[in-house]
Amino acid sequence: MNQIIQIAKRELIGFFDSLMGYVLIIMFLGFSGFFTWLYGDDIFFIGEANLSIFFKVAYWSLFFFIPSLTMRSLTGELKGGTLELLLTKPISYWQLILGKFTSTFVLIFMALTPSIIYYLSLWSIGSVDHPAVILGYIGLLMMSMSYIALGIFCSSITESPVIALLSTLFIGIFFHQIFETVASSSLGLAGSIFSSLSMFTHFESISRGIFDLQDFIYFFSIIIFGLYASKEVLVSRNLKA
Amino acid sequence: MRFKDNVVARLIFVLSCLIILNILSSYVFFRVDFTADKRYTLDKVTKRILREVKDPIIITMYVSEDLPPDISRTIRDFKHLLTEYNAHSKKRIEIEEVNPNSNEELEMKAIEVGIHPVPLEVREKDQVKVQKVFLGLVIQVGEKSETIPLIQPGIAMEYNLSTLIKRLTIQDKPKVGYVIGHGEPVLATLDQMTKELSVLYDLKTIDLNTRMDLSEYKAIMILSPFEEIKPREFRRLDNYLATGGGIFVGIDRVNGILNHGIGVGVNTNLETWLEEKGILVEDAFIVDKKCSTVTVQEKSYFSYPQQYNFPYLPLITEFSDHSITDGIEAMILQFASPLKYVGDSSLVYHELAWTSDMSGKLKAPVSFNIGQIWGPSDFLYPRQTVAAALHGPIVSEQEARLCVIGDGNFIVNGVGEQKITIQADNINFVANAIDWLSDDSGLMSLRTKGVQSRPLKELTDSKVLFIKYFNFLFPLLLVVILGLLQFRRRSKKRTRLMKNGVVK
Repeated sequence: MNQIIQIAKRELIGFFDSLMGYVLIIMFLGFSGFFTWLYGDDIFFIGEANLSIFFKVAYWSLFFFIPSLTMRSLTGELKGGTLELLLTKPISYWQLILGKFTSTFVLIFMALTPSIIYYLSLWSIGSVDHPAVILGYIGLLMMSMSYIALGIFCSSITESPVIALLSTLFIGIFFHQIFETVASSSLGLAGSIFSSLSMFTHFESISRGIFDLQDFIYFFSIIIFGLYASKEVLVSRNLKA
Repeated sequence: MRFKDNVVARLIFVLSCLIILNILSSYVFFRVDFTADKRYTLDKVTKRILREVKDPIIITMYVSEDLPPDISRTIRDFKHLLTEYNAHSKKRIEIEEVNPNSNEELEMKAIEVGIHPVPLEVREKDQVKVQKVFLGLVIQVGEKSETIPLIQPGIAMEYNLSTLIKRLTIQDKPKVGYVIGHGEPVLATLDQMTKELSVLYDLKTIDLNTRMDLSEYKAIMILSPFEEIKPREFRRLDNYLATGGGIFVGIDRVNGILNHGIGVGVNTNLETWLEEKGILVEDAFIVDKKCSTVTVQEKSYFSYPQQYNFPYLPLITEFSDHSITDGIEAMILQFASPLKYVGDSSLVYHELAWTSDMSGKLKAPVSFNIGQIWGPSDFLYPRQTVAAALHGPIVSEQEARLCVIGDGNFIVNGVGEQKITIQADNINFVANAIDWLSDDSGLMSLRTKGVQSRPLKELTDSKVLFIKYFNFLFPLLLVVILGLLQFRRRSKKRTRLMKNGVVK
């Protein structure tokens, strides 16, 4: 556990030292705040005390931001040859991967934290369904964890951050939108399968204030598979070297 | 090579396990409803209705196969709902599934029971085609049956299902009397209300001049009489209250005649009778800044309809915590009058609904001016009571109940071309009031379940602007400030490290 925390700490310091963390958080909050409060179907336009518009915006903005955070997770170590050096220390593959995963997750958590101001503001001007909002945030975190796991996996298969970024976006867009689009034009069993593969289906279910075991199993499946595949790829690479 | 194969095999194994787990989870129904109003959980009224079920209920679902995923999801959710219904009815519900598209005979049978195919636009193999699908069900208890022609997404299904089960399983519907003979609207003009009340009650008209036994009525309704009510009729009502009855009164103390542009007071003696009971209905028009609109045909070069706010149609959004107003959010009244309690403390008086903080009252007679510009000086009487409930020993020692609203037209649909749709909460209010008067929890909480909206408070433009920009800019500023602090800390550290003698 200590090793995981140390790796996560090191990664987080790296994010903020390179200003990347700040830039991404500012961009995320800028986008979210603009569309939640100022433009389009903003909160005052809808006139309802709920954060559904913020969750919709965050659902898309996080999809683009997470791959840009994870693209260097392992590619940097692979390219610079620091992976072997790192693994000479008493650190297991799992600890390394979980450390990287935790650091990105903490960064996303930090990006979402200032949006609590939205929640408090809304609370002051209307009667908010608190549990539904909390589950909306949990939905965003679950979705983020899934993309972080996918992002780490993609960064484990290549030494190029750009390829890692593009491949995460490529795989992610299937879960994020394509399965949903295909599902809406498919019938019967095929439609149901694509619908249950769609992240939107599960995110929407959670963000309306329902804890459904099926949704959580879906998210944890992606997380577990992403992390496990990353570990297997690293093991394979290291043995090959 | 062998090892590489092993990695792939392991990944396939883990992936397969996860897929199986996901498939299994779709069969296990475990769901916790965290919404504040528990809108996705079975209501206590539904549970009570199901507990009272004695006979077996057969639900036959006429649902097509190969549906688009969003509709499949609705059907799946509905089946989960039925599973919960079955559990709460001690497994007295038998569910059958029929695909009417499988053969013509079943298709005809579905149409025969009132389930008609719905055209659905589906995309298949790069083509958009219209498919006819069946999405209905029949509930059968003994010889009686009811049909839901279309299963719709959302929580409204619980209300539909529960009311139909209640209607089928109810043995003898209690009677509710509707007083006629004084110019009251005929039942045919109260379409929405009669439909709602008919689920639980047998609504019968009563003429107080005839000798009939009022004690067989669970509640009596007096709605918008315009002619004088005779003392002997009031005596009959008093006798009814003396035996513990409940009376709902929707009184038009004033009448707005829009065609003539005037509003006048109405005297039927009902106001005197109510005052004797302790409820004074003022012969004044309520005006409220929070109001509905009227459409006026503007005549200039072209004739066009124009909407005007009309403060004589108050929009009521302030309700007390009472079973009658449970879940009710907005009612629209027309030419309403304020109520005041003038009785003593031996009775329990409960105000149910109020006007907004920007409301006033104008004593009849008045003349209407649609284009009138209303200022704050017109709204000097905030929070006027428009509906109230009274219970206790009103006439005799026996506890009786009275529910009064200062408007009689608020649930009148009308007929023919003049027919209008009434705000759902107006109907819910009356139905809840009848449930309360009959001392029956009825379908009170179920009627308004899930309709709760969460509107924002009314704010001034400057406050809205402040909240908008504060929420947009403050989190950004916070991150920028934190970034600058971190940058400064790092600069200081770098300067310190670069000082002579630090690095040797």
